[in-house]
Amino acid sequence: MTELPSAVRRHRPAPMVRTVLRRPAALVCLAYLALLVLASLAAPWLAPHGPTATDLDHVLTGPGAAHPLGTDNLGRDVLSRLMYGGRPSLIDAAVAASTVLVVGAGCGVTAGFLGGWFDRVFSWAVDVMLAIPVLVTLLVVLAVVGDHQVLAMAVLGVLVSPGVARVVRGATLAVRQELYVAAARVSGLGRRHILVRHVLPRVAGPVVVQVSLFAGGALMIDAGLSYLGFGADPPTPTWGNMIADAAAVTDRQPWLLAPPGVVLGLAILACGVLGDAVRDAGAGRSTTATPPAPRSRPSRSRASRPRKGTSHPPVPASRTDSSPALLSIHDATVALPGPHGMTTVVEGVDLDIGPGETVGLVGESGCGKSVTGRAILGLLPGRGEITEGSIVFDGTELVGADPRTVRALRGRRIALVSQTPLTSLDPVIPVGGQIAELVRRHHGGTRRAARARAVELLRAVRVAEPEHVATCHVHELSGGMAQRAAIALALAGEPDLLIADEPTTALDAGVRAEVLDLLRQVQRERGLAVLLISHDWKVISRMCRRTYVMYAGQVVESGPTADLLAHPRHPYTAGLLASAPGRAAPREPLRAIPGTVPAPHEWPPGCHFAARCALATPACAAAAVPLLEPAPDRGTRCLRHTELGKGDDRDRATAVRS
Amino acid sequence: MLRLIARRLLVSAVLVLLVSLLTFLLQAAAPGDTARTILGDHYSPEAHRLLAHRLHLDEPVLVQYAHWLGQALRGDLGSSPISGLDVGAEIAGRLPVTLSLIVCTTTVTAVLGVALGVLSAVRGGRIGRAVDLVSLIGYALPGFWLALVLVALLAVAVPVFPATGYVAFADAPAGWARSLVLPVATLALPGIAVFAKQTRDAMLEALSRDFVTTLRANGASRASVVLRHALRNAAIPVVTLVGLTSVGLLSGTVFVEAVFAMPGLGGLAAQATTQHDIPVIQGVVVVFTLVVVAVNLAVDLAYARLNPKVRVP
Amino acid sequence: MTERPPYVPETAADEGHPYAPDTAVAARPPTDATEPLLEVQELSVSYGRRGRSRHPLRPAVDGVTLRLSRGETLGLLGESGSGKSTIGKAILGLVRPAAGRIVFHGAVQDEDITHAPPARRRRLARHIQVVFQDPYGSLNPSRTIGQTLSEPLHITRRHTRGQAAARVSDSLNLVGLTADAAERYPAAFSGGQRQRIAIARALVLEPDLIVCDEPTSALDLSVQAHVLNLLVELQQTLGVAYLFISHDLDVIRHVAHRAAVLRGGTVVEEGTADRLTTRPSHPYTRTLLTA
Repeated sequence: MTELPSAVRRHRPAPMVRTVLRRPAALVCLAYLALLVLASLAAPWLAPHGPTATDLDHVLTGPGAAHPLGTDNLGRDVLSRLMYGGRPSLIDAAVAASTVLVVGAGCGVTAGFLGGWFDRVFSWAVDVMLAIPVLVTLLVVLAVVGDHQVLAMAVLGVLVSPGVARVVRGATLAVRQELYVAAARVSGLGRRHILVRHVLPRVAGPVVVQVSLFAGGALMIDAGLSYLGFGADPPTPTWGNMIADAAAVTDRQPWLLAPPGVVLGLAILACGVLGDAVRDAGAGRSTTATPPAPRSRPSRSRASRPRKGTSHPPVPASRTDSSPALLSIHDATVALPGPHGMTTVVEGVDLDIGPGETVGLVGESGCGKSVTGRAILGLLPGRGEITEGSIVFDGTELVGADPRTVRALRGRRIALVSQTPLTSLDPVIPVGGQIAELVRRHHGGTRRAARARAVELLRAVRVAEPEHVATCHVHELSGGMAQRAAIALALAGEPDLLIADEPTTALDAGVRAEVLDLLRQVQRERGLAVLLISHDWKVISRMCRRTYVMYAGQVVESGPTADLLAHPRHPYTAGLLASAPGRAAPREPLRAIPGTVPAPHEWPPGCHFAARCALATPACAAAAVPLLEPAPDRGTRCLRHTELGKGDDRDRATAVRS
Repeated sequence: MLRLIARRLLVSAVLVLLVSLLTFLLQAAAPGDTARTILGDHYSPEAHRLLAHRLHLDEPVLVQYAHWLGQALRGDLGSSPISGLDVGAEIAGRLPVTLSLIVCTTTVTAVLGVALGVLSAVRGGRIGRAVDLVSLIGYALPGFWLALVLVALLAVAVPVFPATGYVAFADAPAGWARSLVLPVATLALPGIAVFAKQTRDAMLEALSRDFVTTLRANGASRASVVLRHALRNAAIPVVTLVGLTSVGLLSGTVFVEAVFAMPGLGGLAAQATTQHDIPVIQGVVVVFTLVVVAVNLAVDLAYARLNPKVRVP
Repeated sequence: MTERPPYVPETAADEGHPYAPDTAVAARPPTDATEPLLEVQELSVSYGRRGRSRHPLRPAVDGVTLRLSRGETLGLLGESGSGKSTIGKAILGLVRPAAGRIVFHGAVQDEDITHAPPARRRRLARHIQVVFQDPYGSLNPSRTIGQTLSEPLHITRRHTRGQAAARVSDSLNLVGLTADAAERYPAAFSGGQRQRIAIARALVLEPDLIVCDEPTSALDLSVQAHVLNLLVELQQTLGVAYLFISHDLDVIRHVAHRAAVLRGGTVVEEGTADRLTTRPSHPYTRTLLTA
């Protein structure tokens, strides 16, 4: 019972080094640094002149044939001095960077991995040391020990280490708390093994970033100290004292500032860009550890998209209600930007909501139900767009409308409650202030009146002590309380339609029931229409008279909820209901649907469910299946729904309400 | 909240003690003899002994430190064996210069950087790429070199601003401003880019959070979402940066004051280092540490105002 | 068989049913349910640093007593913050209990593993394993499935490379994956497949007990069905015991023989899963049932 081995793609995250080297910018930087190292090492053989050879007949010449980069005020060749001057600078930077690597990264990894008292002492010491003014302390060392550049650079490394160590500790701690590290411990692996095999490889990236960024800084400070006269004594060249020499003759030959400054600047830049490249490579790799982004498929152009009903005549299944729909979505197709360009994630959705009606939109993750909700609000992520179809709200067409039209509806006519209450409210502004802001925006009035109204709204959503809760921040509220506040926020504009996107998924069972009761009460009291988006059949069956089922971007079935649960007309709905553990005999195999949901770019031209369907025939895969009307007020995107309807449905009727 | 401040102050006190002790020990370990430096080449052993006694040089290091600390607590940081000047007075005279530089630069950097960052987060595209480019250049340009180039361009080639020197604000506010333009520009340029980048990243992060969608969906205006909600959420990393920047500027002033020949603490520290003038540099270190402590405390307080989770009733 | 429409849940041992699991489950003689495997006695766990917090410590788990027999599934049912995951972590040695005892009944001797030293803990890995909730965080993304699965074999069993590879491929087959999955990285697998891999990792050492910490909570309904089927089937063929932690009453009812309902770190009700989910005696269990 493998889940489609064909879906298993070989996907190997490339090793860090290779990922970095694939970036041209990183390659150029490495090449430049290598060139600097080579040139300074080989200076005695390659340099055209000695570093201190003066030629008083040719002072301050500027670039020319004899001296490619010109000469300084004593007629010394600038190019040669640059080459010789690189050596102390690079050695100093290397000393500082190695110190940081050993002291900073070492302490950071140790503290992050060991935790406990070592970590507490470490954190305290870092707090203290971060407040030490680096450069002046370095000057103290220089004042005491004299011109000992290598020692000074080692001290610089120690002084900078706390900052680096803190970042590295954070990275180590994050890895140590990963579940796979816990799993490795449970697997009986020793600490050292876990550190070497699991933690270090993942911390290496941040360490390299820190050290490389610091190496650039060290080059700069080294040159600066040298400029101030704390480096090698003249006439021995360093990049810093070359700049100092140049500064003395700016009025006569400003060119001299350029060579050492540019060489030094580029070296620092190279370190920085390398660091960025490693960071980006790390970011690219770590995304492989996170759940896949919304799956996407290449967008079909209007021409190539199989028209509905090319082989089957469309039979629209619509609300039989005589009153006009408040919201009417017809044939809506939505494309979002993805790794394959603009990709269709919702295809040909038809959906109607009458005034004051609660309608369910049910489906598994990635089926496009949330995107449909966002499309109504005109809030598609990124550059997502509705490529086809229409969305008519209370007589107004929203697709292709002036953005202002849609904006004017938000809050005032259509409002949103989303899944995780604790993140769907602004954490830094008191709850009451957020509600009051929207009250004023929609109804005007004084601040005081808006505030009073906010408290009233909180009371309306059955918040105990609404005056107090209004002054609270989100983190001070429980999940259920925060979701009530979020509902109050959505009610601030007295909307006609509420889009509730998984409003209870993040809540515990008891609280879930309370919030659902509240939603129902609010809906009744205010005559509110609700589009309830959920993956939970229990929630849907409890709340919604009518329900739409989505699968792989399409509405595959619709109808009155009770009828739909009792007599599913689409094999996907039937399969989904059958795979719920609530109704099966304990420990007997559940009737799981074979295979997996296809990603949007894998959607077949015919029925999206055909590959997993026991009833599928060649006709199912041949062409797009329209929404058929198997019974009054029912819709299904299945050609063989009659086969499905024949069976004994007694068990199913008890499916969800048990 | 009060606990936080108290904890901070305690750590700070320990820090100042630690830093001063370290510099003191370093100095004691240093080769050379302060008494001899003061007396010059010709002195009698008796004079040397007397002077050493007067300076407590004949006592154990820790006792010497206790003397120094006792005097320092009374505001007396000793006197320079080189110039004979009172260290406290010398520092007090130069502090306004350095503080002018730091405060002006931090303000300019933060205001311009945050504005650019917000703009590039909301508008993206070209501004975003420009900020990236400038921040790379800003990171790579050595400050003292940039200062020299600016002098060559705007003071020597086209004399718009003074190349060197400092005018006290009390003497001539306009002259004060003119004398600060080039140094502040030098110090601010890398910082602006860093601020812009950090602000943009924080803004983009804040704008991608759930609550922004909720607020927009429920009708909050775009201006309010960006400036009232997203920016306040993005402010926390930015405030951290204000602290880091002003602390980092203490290092930057050493170079910039040297280039522009400004009579500030950084220049004093550099000069004292060349002359091995320990009491002076020790004084500067203590004062700089106090500045860092003050900045960190201010940042903590700002945190508490911005982040309700830190605020403890 | 052909005339019966699919999806009609008759008896589940419905051979040849299109959506019945394709692996025939051999009816294994039921293990002696009285043979004890693990006992948790008066277990208490507190989080937070002792003495540093201004608030008195509120224990995450407070005096919990549980018994688990060989080959049995004990369900731990509770809402967030009920302490159910903490009990699992204490058994796995991932948190230190403040009080109480955890006794493991090995094949040879009974043993108090409440504060097992690291070396002993590592040897316990052969007997007690884990499957976590998050299928994305529980596999190291930069190591192949083969590396992850064979690691404990090299370390705790001193397997050679060939032995380990054979064992890894056996494990992968057990969870319904082909052996070539070993060469791939976690990124190549869907959430459901990763959870199978996590189960395979738990199985390589042939443990007596697997702590399943919300193993299907992050999965969609249709994927959950596959994973639950797999877990039940493995228990029937291998005789492994599960401590099955979940907030989902339906899942507990389906997989567990016995269950305990937790609230605020204490057990409010305990009994057979069937009785708990049909005739609960404690009012809290009743609210869970009606929610």
